[in-house]
Amino acid sequence: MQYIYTHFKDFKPHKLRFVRQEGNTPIPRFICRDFISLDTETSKTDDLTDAWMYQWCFSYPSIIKDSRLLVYGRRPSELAEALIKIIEVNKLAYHNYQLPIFIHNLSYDYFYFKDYLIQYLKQFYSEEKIIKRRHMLAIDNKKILTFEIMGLWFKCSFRLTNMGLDAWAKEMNTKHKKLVGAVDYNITRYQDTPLYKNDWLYMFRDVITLDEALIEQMQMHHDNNKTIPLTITGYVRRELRREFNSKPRYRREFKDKELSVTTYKLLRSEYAGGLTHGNRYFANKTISVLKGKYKGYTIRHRDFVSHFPSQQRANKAPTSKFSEYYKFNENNTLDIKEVLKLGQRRCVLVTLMISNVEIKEGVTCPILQSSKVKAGRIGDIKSLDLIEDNGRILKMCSGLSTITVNEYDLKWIYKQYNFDYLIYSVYTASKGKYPKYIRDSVDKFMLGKTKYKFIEHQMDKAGISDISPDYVANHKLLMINKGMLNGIYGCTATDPIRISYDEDEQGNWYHTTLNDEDIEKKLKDFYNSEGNFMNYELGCWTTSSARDELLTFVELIGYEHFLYCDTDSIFYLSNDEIEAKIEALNKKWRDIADREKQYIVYEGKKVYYHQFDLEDEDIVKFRFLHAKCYAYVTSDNKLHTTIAGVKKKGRNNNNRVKELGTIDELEQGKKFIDCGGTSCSYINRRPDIVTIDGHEVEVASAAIIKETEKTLKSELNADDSIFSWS
Amino acid sequence: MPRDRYSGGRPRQEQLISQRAVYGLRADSPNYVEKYTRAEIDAINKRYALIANKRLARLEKAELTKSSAAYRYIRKASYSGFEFATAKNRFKTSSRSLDNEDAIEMLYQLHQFLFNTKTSTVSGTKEVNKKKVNEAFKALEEKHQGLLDKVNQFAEDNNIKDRDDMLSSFFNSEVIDRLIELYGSDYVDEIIDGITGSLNLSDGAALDLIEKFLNSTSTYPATPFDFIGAVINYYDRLKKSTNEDDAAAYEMNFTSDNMTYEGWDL
Repeated sequence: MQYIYTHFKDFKPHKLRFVRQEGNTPIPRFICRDFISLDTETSKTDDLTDAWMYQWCFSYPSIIKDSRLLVYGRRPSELAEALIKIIEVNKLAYHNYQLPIFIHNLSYDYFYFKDYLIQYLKQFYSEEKIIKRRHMLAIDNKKILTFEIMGLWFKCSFRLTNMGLDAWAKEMNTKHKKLVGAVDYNITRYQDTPLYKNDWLYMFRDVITLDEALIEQMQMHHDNNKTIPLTITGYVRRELRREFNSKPRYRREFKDKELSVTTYKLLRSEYAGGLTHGNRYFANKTISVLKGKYKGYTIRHRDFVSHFPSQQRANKAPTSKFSEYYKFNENNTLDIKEVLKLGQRRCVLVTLMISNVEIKEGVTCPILQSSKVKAGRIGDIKSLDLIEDNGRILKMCSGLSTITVNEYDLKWIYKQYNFDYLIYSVYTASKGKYPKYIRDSVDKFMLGKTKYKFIEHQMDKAGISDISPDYVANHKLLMINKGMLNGIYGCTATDPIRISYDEDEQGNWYHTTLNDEDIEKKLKDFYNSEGNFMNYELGCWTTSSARDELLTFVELIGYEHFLYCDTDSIFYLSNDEIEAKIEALNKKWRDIADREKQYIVYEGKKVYYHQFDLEDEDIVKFRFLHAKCYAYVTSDNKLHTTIAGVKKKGRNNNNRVKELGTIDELEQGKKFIDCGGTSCSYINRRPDIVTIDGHEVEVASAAIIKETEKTLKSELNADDSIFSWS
Repeated sequence: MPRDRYSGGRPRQEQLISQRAVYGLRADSPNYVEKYTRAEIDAINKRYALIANKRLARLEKAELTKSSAAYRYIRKASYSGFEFATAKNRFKTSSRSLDNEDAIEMLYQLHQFLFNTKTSTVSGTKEVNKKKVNEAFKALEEKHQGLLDKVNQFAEDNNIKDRDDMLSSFFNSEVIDRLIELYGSDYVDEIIDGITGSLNLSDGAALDLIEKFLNSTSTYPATPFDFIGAVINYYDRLKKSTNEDDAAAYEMNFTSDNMTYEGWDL
């Protein structure tokens, strides 16, 4: 591909070709066969009070074969001018045309170009028309997936990959790569600051890399502009939908399980993610097996094999519509044991009022979340008096709360706590295997993952370079299958009711609030739409059965030996007896798997789901501060860390392990400067021309990314917010 | 370090065991500069524990047990039976019965509590709270001026003078909590303004009316503006349904400064 550099003044766009988008919309939609890649460069004042765009560039299809134009300029008004040329030539304003413009991290660049674009559009088109042809799709305040205005359809390529442009280009093995480090972002550049070859090269390379990565991505998934999804989960959704549509009965089953407003709300309240917790008796201490109390033990780390897919392949979930089984009645109260018994054969959603909750002696991995208890409190927040352990309840000294749980969580609450309760309502559904199309998809991607992992392993053994074409091609396929396998859970846990976020004319973000009628209507739409096929309750049961398995192993290992767990892995103090117990349970599950055919076969070997595998690590020291903040040392004296909010690779060529130093420094007050994160602040302002440091600058709204340092905190210095709104 | 330094009085700077030494002892690091005998560690623990326990008692007396993260931690430690804590939310005053590792752990915990934790003292907790409150007020000023006016009005109506109490009383009240949950904090002031403006009520009366409305229904309007309309309709319905006397009293109650609803089934 050849690129022709074109200044925006010389830019004379030619008309592009549009094809009809599939679907039964009343007015047919047409989508461009080609796309545009856009990137902007921004600068800010030293005190971070002001920011502006000082350089931009986009690629545009050329009439010359195998070549594209690289259109560039300096000011946002120039970008708006160039985009309006495109609208005019392609008559985007007069037809239902959409021209995709990909921006890597649209949520950032959007704030720099939107004001000028809208202001310029208003000079050419009526306000009514602009409002009619404007559509925002955002997943949260200021988190934009797509933004469409007058046929220009801005799409975020970051959401498509969840990777930085550099990593994505490497993954796609594009011909050109991002010129990382070529431009110093700390230098303030104005719109009239002379730019040098390196500055332009950096900008152009970004756009070319984005172009190439997009083309590669589309080729890899056999996509075009009509079919390319908006987010990474779109790929999985498409695969699952294909399986789902293979048999008409799947749609019938999907619709049969339609949720009512009540059951939807109960499920939303029941849903929780993975269980991440550390044994409070070991928090903020270095556990060493080389000396001291734990000499003679070993520290082991085990991981579940594809934990969430395993639940969906081997465990059970609701297979019918939820119906009311019990409603509170003074003359007929329900005992928790009855509900637990019921839960053995039915899927249960139980709402209960709890008080005087107290953890049983020796339990070090509590399941009851403080956030759920606080959310369901009856009365003022001050009436609740809780003793907490890293977000989980140890004791509820005063107050009442209502919680909704399913049979798995109820079992563990009952096992781990003493408490008073009153059951309000019980809804039940039949319990059975996950739908066949999900199980088949899990099998398919698990087989793919196993196959490509095996091939990669063989290549590693044979000493084949990881940049050789074969290795890269195999790695790509491995990544696709891995992503697909993990993405299935993501699809099942997606809330069927989407809240839409948008920005008003003043630049304030808002979202719609739904009342029961709206929820009912949205649920009806969800189940009637041909595009939807995933029952939300499956996602709820996937995570809860995963928590159940994790806690089963924590209990088996012994609460006193348990160190730390995160969703699908456990660190623990081990000895031969504990290992034997784990292996016995693994064997029991393998036997069940053999009987139920819960495995895949590759090269004549069975690969089982549902196994708790030992990681090949000889850990000699382990230390954690709180959830998602731990470090360990292996016998080769290598330090490994996982700290939420601290990047693996940081600024100034530094990395997390280097910045931590030693395991004992994982301590409250420890500062990570190079590997700390970033924060974003926003300026909301109308387009204007101002003088900054003697430079005339076109300014408008802006997003300013600040580098922040991360200071570790322990419970002693917990900095919890006192007000729910802040 | 001479033993007599640990007897009596508050610890002076030269009496303090350095952080480096505590970390060194705990990590068994060969680099730490000062070395301590077991007896010395026990003596330091005793001295530190007495000071720490006085701080805990003062936090209790000042009713800051919930807002002090340090107190909450000791409460958890006591509840969990950590070696360094007693069952009554206090540090043990003697570490003699503990093994070496636990005694050093106790020294570490005491050191953290006394020297590295702001909320271990009454003034520190108040300072942290004040900082949080100031941050909250700053955020209100910058982003939610209308909401700030409501907080001030609410404080005036309820004769609350302390800035901390002003915020906590306002935001922890159930009705505000519900409004934030339903429509987000951006709309709270608009809702209250809309209702007070349309019905000529004080802020307090409007909040009471909203609370009654929220309790009377399980379906809520989609937008904050529809919500205002629904509350106004609710008010009209109430007025119609009550007899003349009741309506007059009802009206009076809503417009008077002293809002009480005892005996009123709205």
